[in-house]
Amino acid sequence: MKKLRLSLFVCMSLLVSQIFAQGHSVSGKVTDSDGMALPGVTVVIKGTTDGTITDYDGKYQINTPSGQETLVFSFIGFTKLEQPIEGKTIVDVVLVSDIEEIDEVMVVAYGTTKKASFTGSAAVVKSEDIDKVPVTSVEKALSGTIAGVTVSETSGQPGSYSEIRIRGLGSFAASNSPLYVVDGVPITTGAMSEGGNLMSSIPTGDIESITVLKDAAAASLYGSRAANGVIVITTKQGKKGVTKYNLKASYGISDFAVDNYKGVSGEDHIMLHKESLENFFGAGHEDVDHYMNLYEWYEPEGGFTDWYDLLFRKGASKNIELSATGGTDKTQFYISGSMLDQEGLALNSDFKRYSGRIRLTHKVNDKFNIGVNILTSHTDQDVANNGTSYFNPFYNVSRNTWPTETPYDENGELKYELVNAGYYNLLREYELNEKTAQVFRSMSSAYFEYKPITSLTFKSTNSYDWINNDYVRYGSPSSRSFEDVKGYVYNSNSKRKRLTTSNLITFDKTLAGEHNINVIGAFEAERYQASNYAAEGEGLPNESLKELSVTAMPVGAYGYSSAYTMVSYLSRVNYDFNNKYYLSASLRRDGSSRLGVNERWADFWSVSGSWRLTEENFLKDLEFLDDLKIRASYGTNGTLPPGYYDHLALYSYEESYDGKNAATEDQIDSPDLTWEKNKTFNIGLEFGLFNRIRGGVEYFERHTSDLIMDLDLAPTIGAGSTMVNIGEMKNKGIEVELHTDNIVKGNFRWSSTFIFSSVRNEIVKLAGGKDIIGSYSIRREGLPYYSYFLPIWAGVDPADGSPMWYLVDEDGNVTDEVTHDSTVASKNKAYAGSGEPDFYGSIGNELSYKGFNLSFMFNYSVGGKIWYNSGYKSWNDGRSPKYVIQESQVDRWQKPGDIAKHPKRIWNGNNGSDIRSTRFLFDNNYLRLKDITLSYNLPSSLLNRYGIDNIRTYVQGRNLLTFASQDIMDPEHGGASGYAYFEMPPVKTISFGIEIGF
Amino acid sequence: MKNIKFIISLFMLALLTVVQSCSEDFLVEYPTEKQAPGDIKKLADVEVVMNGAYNLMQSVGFLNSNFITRNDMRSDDMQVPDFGRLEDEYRYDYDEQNSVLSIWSTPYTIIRQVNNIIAMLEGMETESAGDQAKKDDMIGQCLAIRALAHFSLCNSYGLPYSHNAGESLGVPIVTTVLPKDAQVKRSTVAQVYEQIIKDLTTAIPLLSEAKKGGKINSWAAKTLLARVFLYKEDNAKAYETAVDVIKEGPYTLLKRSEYVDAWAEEFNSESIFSCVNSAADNGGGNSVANLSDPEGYGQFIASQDLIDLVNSDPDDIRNEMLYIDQLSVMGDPTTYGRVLKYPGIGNTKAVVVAHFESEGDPKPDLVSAATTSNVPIFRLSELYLIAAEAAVKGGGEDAATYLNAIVERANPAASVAEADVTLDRVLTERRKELMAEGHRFFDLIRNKRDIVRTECARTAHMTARMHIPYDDYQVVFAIPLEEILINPLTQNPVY
Repeated sequence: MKKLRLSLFVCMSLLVSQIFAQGHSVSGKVTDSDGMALPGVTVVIKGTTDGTITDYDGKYQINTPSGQETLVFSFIGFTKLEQPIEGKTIVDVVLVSDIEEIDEVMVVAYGTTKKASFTGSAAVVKSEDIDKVPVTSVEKALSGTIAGVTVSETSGQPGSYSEIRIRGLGSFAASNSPLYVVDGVPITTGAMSEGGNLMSSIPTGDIESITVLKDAAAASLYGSRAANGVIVITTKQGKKGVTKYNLKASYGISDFAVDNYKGVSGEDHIMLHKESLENFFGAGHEDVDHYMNLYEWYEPEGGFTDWYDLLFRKGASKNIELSATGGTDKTQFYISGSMLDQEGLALNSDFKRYSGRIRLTHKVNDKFNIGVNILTSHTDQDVANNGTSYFNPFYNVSRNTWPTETPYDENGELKYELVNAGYYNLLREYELNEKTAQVFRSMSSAYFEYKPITSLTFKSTNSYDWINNDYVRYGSPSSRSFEDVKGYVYNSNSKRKRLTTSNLITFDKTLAGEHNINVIGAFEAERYQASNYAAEGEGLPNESLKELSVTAMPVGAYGYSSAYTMVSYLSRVNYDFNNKYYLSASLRRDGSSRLGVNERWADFWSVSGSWRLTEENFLKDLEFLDDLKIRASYGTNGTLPPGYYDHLALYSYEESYDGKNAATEDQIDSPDLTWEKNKTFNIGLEFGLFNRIRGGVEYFERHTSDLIMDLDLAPTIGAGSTMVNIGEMKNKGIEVELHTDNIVKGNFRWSSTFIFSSVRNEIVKLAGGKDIIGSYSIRREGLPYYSYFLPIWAGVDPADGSPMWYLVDEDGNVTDEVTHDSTVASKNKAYAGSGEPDFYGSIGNELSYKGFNLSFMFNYSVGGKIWYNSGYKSWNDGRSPKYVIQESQVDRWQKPGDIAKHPKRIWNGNNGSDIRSTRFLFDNNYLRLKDITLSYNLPSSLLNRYGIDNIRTYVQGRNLLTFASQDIMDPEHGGASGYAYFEMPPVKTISFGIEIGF
Repeated sequence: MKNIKFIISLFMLALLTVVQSCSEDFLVEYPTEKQAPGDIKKLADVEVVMNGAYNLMQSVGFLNSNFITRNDMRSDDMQVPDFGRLEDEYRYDYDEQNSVLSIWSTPYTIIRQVNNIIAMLEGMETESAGDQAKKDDMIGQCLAIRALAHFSLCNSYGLPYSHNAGESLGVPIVTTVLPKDAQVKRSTVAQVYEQIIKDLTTAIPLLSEAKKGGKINSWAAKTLLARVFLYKEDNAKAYETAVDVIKEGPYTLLKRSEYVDAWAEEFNSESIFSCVNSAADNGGGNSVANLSDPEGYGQFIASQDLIDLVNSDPDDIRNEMLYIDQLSVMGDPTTYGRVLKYPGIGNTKAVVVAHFESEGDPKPDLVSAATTSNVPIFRLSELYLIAAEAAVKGGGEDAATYLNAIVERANPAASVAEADVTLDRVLTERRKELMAEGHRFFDLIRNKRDIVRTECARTAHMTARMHIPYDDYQVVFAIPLEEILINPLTQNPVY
């Protein structure tokens, strides 16, 4: 780089005319935004040809007539800067790279484009951004960084899945997840059995850029899978030159980000139970003591037990990545290897990943290129249970473990079972039982590219994505859970195979200097197959043999495979006139095996255009306006049915009767089942002001029709349900992104990023216009998809501590009248809000001084509800002794006149106070310090001596601070729906890392 | 030159892929473990679907538990020891919102399955007399199963025929494979009974007379027919049909000495039709067997009323069927009354006692899990009791003979004199003999007898209704909301 700058300096010296001695002398230094000196910058007095260039240290000196002129600084690759002298003698300036803004090349569907010419709505996260804020998964890299994208870290389990939604929700029964495309190839995503996230097999260090395609213009070229947006990931490629190495290492520790479902202390546990008994039997009644003794509700000898402490630990994470890149003019390579070792908070949750990648490109001759791109990864996971399983430690600690219970008996041995209705002693069970998943993945693709003439390219990319998961469950013969069957083994193997071919012709030409035309045409085909087999057996001879072969009794053997295929033709035309007017149109035709013959093929298209107003003469004079572009798009895309065979009539042969094969009708045919159709309109404005502010505002509407629903048939039909296209849904929203360089002074720089999104989801049409009512939810036309429908809690009656709910009138409006009767209340349900926030986004700041860089980002979310799923068990006001009493229950009614949060505690319950109602629904506003990173780059002058290019060290915190409107659980725990179901809650992490390039 | 060849061959390869892929065949995929109905072509294929109908009957939603346990829970015989499974029926805590769906939906799924089979068979040519007999037998089974499904539905959702001669609303009658948007209205109880009797009388001549145990033969269909006539108070026909099976059928009553351990056998000399379970194929946790098993869910236990009744004659062999164990339920030492009718294949009384009461460590194993128990649906003893009840009600003679066959088997010293044979005496015997088999609730309400519980609520956390009049609105379940929302049927009164 220094060499390049030096040669530029020499060239510029020859070009710029000599300077004349003048009246006012001005000097200064020109640097880039990282504080590096810029040599060779042209400095000209505005309106003249007089000027100079900066020297090797970025310094200049110029004489002006009066000192009131304006200096114009220009340099290739940087935005021209005009700076009034205003009589000063020292004028230091920072030039901002314009590659980032205008001529930035971004990866989009089927190719790359200059950001300036792009007519669609898309956002990019680049490797520099990922490096700045290192994370271990692709989803986390997107969290808070892009408007219109929500990433819910619903689970804190290592290797777990984060839910991503781009611009709301477009489907009932089919997928709401975006399509992932890695290096031009759609890949298999989602969860492998037992919570493993397939995306976690891709290390973030290998990623060059992530582009999120949001509107029709950006995404429609992916046709039937594009309705939920597309995430296009490009991995790093080799760079020619001396081989460069990069080593990254980090270590982090983690804990729950907030307290979740916090239980009462041992003293309160005893006090509250005693109170419910006394309120029921009367104080001093013999049954009070009877039950207190029966359930052993007294302080154990060694003191009360903190089950959180016993069942959870601090998480730990180690990550090492090493890469090498280099090559010649003809052949370039990128090779990397990585190891990630995470210990989850739950005792039995660990995640290890080993991965290796090689990417090779070779230029055979001027017309011919070939290349390969191979990733292999192996993940090894100890799986903790999720959901309402007794083995889920989080479920157990939230529901079942009393502080009055101890896991150890008087001899210090782990107890076989606990007092609480024979619940398993998880400490003992974890030591004995195992649950592991090993996923091996190999993603290979090879391409050849042929350029018969410069404007025409043919490229064929063929790939094979192979995933193999070996899942093992072992239950020890001496564990409480498997003792009755004398030990248990379950082994399963599942494979996912995806074979794709993509054959693309690109024509790119500029005519008459002004008309730029880019046309692509492609043919693609794909086959995906999932196959599984599994076997289970019971009865193991001892503690050390854990294989199926030694089980005394086979329990079952299973095997099947399922597949789908797709064939697509697609084309796109981009035209621009003089870099001012841009037009783009795309068309894709998809055929899928997941639909019946009548509806097998569908067309998806988009049209879009943009206009760069700053290229117009009438705006060229507005100095403050760096860039102004408006763009609009309209188009269609779709979503496939969720199952591979939803359209077929099928008989299932899974069952047997009396040892003989048995077949039952599995599903009836749905010959008219078709794609969900998504029509998206988008209008956007992009601007750059004062060389300091860049941003964009977008408005979109997304209308989805032919929504697929698993329509329940009347039970008298006897055929269960069938997949039909029946619903309609609408999402509309506003997205704002703003990047500002607040202070750029010498070596100090402060910049901010502000991201705001607001999406409104609305169900437009349901089957027969009829509400679909669940135990706490409602799907109703005109309401958001995730709507709560519950009895409306009216608090506790101060007179007698009984529960109250509001009555609802015939029109569904909540009245002022209350009922104390839970059966009446359960028939007086009303709409109680939605899980969807009113708006959300992030505020980020980055401060840098010399080698130091501090960045921090807050995520915020306002509006939206979160459902306390455990509420109706954990806030039961004495109804059931089984469940852990949550801390909040202490605030209860005790005597007439008390204004209390919770009703009077009564053994056997207080008038059904714990029925599902808005008592368990909370506003979910929050502000969370998603990320804070402090890094230091060692000075290169120091490092060069040792042949090291750069060393960066950092300390990073994620989710360190959370301010939320409810204190029951983590605000992200509910995800998009606001409904948390005992997933392991999100964690906060502090990590330290170092990155060395040499 | 070399390069050009290479390029050409690559293009050819790509082209080949294109041509191959373009064909529509590439877009046809079928699952590997399921079949389209069009692939069911031969009689042997249909037999597999016929097994499917039995498999559905064997589901816990119907005969493997819910129809039996949830109805017994509503009677004075059985109770829950703890809140949880079956609690709602025991407490009569059900309405339109939380009525158990499977008691409604599973029989209709079964009806669709047998209607599908009938449709498949009707279009099928047979090549031999043997095939024709097989075909007839299958149609007969389908009709009898359809009758059993309608009968269970009608009793759960319609008032007993005896309450007002079948004029109240029964359930929708389904005799064809319905299109997906069909809305069939409720017929009266009388109409449903008429259809049931028609299906059974059509089925009986088609059915095989051979002993089958796990499948329906003509004797099973006749047993159901006798029960239908008894419920319909067509006592003469009930008597006649029951006596036909008793006299002509290939079944014999168990002896007193065999009685207790016979329940640990797959079939015994009086099994006419049972739902077959095995280690590999059973109802699992929610099966009646596991619900009875104190090591399982243990939610289906004898009430103190039932225990007291049986205990009142210490020599009654059926005392042996009540296994009283001191087990900790919710930490509460409660007398736990298990009715040993679903002990698991091979788990004789001796095996059970050894397993539960041995002081040794480890305790002796059971032979198999309780869930392996077959669930008797029709057995010979019931026919003696049908004959006795029908005779008491004027449908025939020798009520005492039929009653004493059961009474004397239980205790040879306890025969009932001709003069003492009353309806109540027959019902008491029925209660003792058929306990935990799902009969008691219907026996009470169809005979217009209230459900009276004196010593039922033996556990904490439980408040149960102690007296339920036979005409209480809750003696019929509410038609589930899942049906009414799609097919607006008339709801039962009060719900």
